[in-house]
Amino acid sequence: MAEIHALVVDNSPVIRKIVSYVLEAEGCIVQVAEDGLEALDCIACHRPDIIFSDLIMPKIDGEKLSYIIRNTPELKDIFLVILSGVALEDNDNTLRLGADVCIAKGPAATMSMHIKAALGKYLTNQRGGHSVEGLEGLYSREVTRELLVSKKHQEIVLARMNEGVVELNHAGRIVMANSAAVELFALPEAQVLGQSLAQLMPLSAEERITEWLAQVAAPVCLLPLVFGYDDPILLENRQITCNLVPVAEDDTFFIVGILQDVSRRKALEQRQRQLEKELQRIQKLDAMSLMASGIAHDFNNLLTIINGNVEMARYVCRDDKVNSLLSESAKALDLTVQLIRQFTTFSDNFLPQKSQVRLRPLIDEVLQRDLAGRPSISYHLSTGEEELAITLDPALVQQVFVNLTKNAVDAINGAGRIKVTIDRVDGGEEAARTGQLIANGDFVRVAFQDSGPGIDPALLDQIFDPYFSTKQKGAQKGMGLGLTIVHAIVKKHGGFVWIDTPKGGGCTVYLYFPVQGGVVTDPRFFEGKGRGRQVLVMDDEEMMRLINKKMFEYYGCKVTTATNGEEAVALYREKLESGDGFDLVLLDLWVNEGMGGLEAARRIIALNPEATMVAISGDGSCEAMQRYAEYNFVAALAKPFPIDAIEDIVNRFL
Amino acid sequence: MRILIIDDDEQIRILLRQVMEWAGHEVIEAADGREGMHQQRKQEADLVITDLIMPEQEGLETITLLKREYPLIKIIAISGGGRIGPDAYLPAAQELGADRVFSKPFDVRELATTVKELLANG
Repeated sequence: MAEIHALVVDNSPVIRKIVSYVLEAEGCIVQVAEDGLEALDCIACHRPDIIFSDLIMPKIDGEKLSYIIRNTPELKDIFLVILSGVALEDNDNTLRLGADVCIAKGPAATMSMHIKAALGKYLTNQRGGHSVEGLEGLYSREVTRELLVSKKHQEIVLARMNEGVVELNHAGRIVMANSAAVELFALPEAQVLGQSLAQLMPLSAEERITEWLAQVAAPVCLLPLVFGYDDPILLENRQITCNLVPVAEDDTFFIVGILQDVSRRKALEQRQRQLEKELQRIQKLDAMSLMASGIAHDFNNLLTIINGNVEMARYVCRDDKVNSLLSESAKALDLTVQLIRQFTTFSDNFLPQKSQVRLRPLIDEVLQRDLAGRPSISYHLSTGEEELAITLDPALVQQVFVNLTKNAVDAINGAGRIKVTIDRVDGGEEAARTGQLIANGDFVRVAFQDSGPGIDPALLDQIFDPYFSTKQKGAQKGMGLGLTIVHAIVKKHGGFVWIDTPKGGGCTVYLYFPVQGGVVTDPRFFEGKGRGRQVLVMDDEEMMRLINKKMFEYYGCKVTTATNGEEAVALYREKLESGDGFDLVLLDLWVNEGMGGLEAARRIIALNPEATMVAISGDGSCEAMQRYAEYNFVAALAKPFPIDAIEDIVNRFL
Repeated sequence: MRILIIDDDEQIRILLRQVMEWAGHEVIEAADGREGMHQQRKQEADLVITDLIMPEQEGLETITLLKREYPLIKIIAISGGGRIGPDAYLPAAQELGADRVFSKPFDVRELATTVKELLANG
């Protein structure tokens, strides 16, 4: 008969001695271990044929040891005998551990009889015992029962925690891991237990843990090791904070570790930061837009004068030297004019002229034209949505691709290629995939890729900022407004833009245009504020009627005119009865013949208490104009009023 | 020919006067629409160059008034852009009867050519 290798695991030296003695007498080669962890090391050195294990032990206990043995393919056939001191109190649980034989600890004689019997069962391969042996003469102890209940309770608490909790022995090996911790390591529990924590970690963390363990051990110095929120461990794509606290125990120590997955919080924060950045960018653009609209008028006036005088000076001057100096001035003026034009694009009030546009031909045209003189740069345009037309301002969107092409050409700086891909994507899915702030809804995505060296990722945050440029500044190289304009225009279309610049070069600008609706930053663009709304204008002056009509029509309203109050009230009633109704009524307060605006307003409000009416008068200081709200008006306009005032009315009331 | 220039900016008026006088025209000036109408009624001009955004009387109103009282008059509207973007007023001006529209800053030679054409056709 071949020799039987047996392993005896018990933290009580007396029990180890008794069991070893019996087994050795039966001719076995016996190894002993004090606890589950030591047992695992013994097993790793030499696989035993049969294991006699205690249940309640420090470090890895008998229950976990059984679990590991039964769940490790190389070990699962080992004949397992449980020697339980709490068999009577924990009978059901003991039988569930998958042991082949369970023996209750009792008087040495009884135990030794059952140990021999177990050996006999091993030799005859009788596995999977269903009862606990050696219970005769034992009695259940209430204290033990209560301790077991308390232990179970603690296990439940640990199991339910969101934080991973691990216990390490002095050498940094895991002897306990709750389910959250096991989940973080993404390994089966059987592989986690007994494993060194450092080895489960990525290299940088491994080094720190190993170094720290050496410091703690010699001489015992109980300083914790913290991988905090700002330097988390990257484990299986998750960011994990880890707090390792050494706890003294007799003349050695063990370690309690708390692990926490902070990826979600980090991701939320990242998103928050992105949102803030985006908001700042929008605020910056808003400020620019305000400034642009403020100075554009004055600038244009000044430029007209400078430009005009330079032109005339050139016309009258016959001196070549002076002429060439003037022509340089004229060139700079030209660039200034272009700059001002670009500025006005930022203006909130810049009205895009929308129409149904097919992107492919539009982009194709720009690329063909702007790359015409550059045979060294090739381009490829592909699309999955050949015929898809979306609502855009073609001139503005063309500007987007002019700017992108210019950037690409500068980036390529020689030979290379531009690749443009047009697809239709779902905003929500795209946001999840890229982590960008793309709204929900149906979008057309244009990926504009160049083969240049790419952009330093550290600069990506600033790339859309006004006056930011990676190129040398100056009139020839651009003003650092190219991408700012791209950003502003795409935003005006309710779209989104971001730039991806992978390591190893190349740079892709992703543009998203909503197929319909989407998030619209400028509601007038898609909704066409005022578009299709019904406006009634009452004024006795033909010219004022005409101007008002033209102005409101400019904003897409349908305009009906009346010459006096009677006519206006009749038209209002007629329209209301047809089930349609006017959205806005402008009433001149004083007319030469017939009913004035005040009386007309009273009658209209009687027909429809919700009517939106605006008072107009040449005399802005009269009482009705000053206290228009008391006369059922929502606003009052003193003649003459500029088109801005009409715009304001459209924005506020339509 | 007589040209009426309406603009609240004196330097623009000076520039336009210069250009028009060099082209051989007689120039009268007004700083706003109201004064412009007054001047026109006093000494009829053949062509008016008017700004669109001015105090007192709006350019659009002036254009409408001029065309009503003097159907044969030629009108060139100039807009300085500003709040609504360079081209917002101009289509409205054209609708109201401006023969040509220019957006500031414009090329004075182009303006001179346009004046010449309009007067030749009239």
